Amino acid sequence: MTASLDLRTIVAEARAIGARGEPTDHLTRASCALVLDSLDVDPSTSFDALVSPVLSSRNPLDDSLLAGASGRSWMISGHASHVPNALGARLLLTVVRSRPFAGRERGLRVYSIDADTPGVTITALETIDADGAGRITYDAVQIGDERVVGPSRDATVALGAAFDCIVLVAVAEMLGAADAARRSAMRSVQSRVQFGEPLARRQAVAHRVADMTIACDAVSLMLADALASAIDNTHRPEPLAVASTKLAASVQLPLVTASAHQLHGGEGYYADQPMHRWHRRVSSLAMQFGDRRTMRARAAELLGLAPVF
Amino acid sequence: MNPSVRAADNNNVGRLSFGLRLDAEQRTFRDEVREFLAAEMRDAAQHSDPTDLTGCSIEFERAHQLRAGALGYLAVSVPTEHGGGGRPPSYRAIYSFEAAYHDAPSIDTAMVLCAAPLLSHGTDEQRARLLPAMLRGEVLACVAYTEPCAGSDLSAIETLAVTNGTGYLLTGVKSLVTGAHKAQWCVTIARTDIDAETRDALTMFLVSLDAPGVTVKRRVTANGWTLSDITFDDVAIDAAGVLGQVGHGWHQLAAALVDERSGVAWLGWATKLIETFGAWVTTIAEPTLRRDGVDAAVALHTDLVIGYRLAERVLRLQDGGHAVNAEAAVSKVWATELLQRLARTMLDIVGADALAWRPVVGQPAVAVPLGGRIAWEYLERIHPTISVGANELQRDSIARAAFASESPR
Repeated sequence: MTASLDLRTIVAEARAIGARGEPTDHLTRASCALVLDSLDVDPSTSFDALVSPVLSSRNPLDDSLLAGASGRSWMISGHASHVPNALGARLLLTVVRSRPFAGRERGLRVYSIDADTPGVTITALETIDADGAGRITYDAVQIGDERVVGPSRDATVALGAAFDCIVLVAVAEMLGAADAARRSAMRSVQSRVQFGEPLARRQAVAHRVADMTIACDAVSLMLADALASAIDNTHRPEPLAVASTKLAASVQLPLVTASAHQLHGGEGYYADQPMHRWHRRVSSLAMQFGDRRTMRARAAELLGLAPVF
Repeated sequence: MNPSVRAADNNNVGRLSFGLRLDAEQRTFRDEVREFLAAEMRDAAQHSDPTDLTGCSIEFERAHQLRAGALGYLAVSVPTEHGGGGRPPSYRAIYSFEAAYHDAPSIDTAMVLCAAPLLSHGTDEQRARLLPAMLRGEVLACVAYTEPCAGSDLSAIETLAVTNGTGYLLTGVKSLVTGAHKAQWCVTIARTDIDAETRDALTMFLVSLDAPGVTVKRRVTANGWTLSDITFDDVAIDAAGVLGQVGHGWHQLAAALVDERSGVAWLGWATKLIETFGAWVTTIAEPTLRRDGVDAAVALHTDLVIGYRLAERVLRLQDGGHAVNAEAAVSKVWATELLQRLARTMLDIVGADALAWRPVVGQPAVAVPLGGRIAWEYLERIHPTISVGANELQRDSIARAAFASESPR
């Protein structure tokens, strides 16, 4: 880890971006920087997208993108089905399984691949999010050894910690968005008068706000705790804290933004109002970097409840 | 769940999976308390009494509290000038957590129930008379605030204390009192001014339960143990029985209740149950059901960890000497509703076998997952969302604080 990367600042920025409701390339930039940093490569090296089926599925044995050695070059084949910021990307930081049967602790390598390399195809995806996501396929893409990023040793263990940090950055953006939606809803129900009194005076409304507040408090404290575990341990957060935090965020926060929609009433459903952007972003990030089912499985494994992968 | 997770916790390897985040000194205290309580409860099944909230016989409860008192546990966070251990409030919380985890009858002690108003508002004479025996575990006490028509809304209190020159005559009915049948005295609240606004009309009293005119009547609850109604019929209280200032009872009580809401004992029970349930689901042979069970256990574990984080925030504030309000409400709502969710989920996963009911302390039911505890939990966890300030009131206060932090443009 280099001193130049400040995880606390990255997380604080992610929260602020989440609150604005417009996804930027921040999460992608932060993800690339964290991956590079974990490989002892200058994290300011500029990449446009992080392509990693292993990160999106959080299944360490995901082999949908494979690299085979052929002489002094590599041949990469497979696909990544949802890559944020893929549209218009020129340089792809690509995490590939190079040894399909090496088990979970080995086999990942990282490559720098130009998007215009023959065999690379980026297809736009229309999703509920506005994160510029695309599907990227690699059809027998040939690249030289010099395209391996970081030391030639196996990157799997280092990447595991980087992926966990990326999950925390994603949770921070979700929390920023959900909390902004909650605050917007609170302003609305305090100022909107119906049946002769502000909506906020109605107990059903106030209690919905209380539940949204409890949810945001819960995720905020979980995130702070997991982040502290990362800061205390050179950007290697406690894996169970990361899984529990992502699970909590993915379960709780989409309910917060959905409630914010409800409290805003019909006006909040118009696209010129911000509510839908927060709701889309939170719901989208809930499914990325380990969805609910995957994170439950990961936590189960870390708790010794079940072998999962 | 996994024994190695618990072992890591005990050995302080890495950060904890189960339990509150504690510093080294707190962990030392917790380990000592754990050892004490495990030894205390080893033969508790022989002292079962399902009609008492603790699940234990009064003799066992008293003997246990005397031993806990002798070791300084009951007053660990009471200032040293009052004979306590002088540790921060988190130490009392750690004891409560472990007492709940071990089902030990030292959760609703006289200290827990009555120390806050006595320390904050009692006279030197009252403290000298009551505190030493309380912190040694020699007395059992209770709090009698609720009335049949006045639960969370103190403005409906009807019990009257009429001055008779030297003191007061107390008349009225208190309900839903925990442990009154075995307590020596109670703290109660009554109207001393029938004209004033509620905020200035109430006064707290210390009442001996063997005083003439006091009647305690036990009523069986939905889960087989008893609460009590206390009737005061012209009970004479001298000036030394007034706790705090006349007319200040409302303010004193509001402060005393916040103290009970960090939710730590609830988390102690939840921790034990989720550990036990988690271990059981790994033994399910049928793959689909096992998958459901594991998923449920993980979801509950996540919610438990949220509970830890919310309670830790309250303890940090309390240890720092800060006022706690909405934070305690959040913690209370989360922990009490987690216990209900936990009971429902266990029932759902285990199925009809979980209907077998056994008292909390005693011989477990044979060939039933968790030995009959699930059914007991299912009925038991109805009341924490109602008591110590109903969760509806907690949500009112959470919303009030939230709205105050975000006023309209």
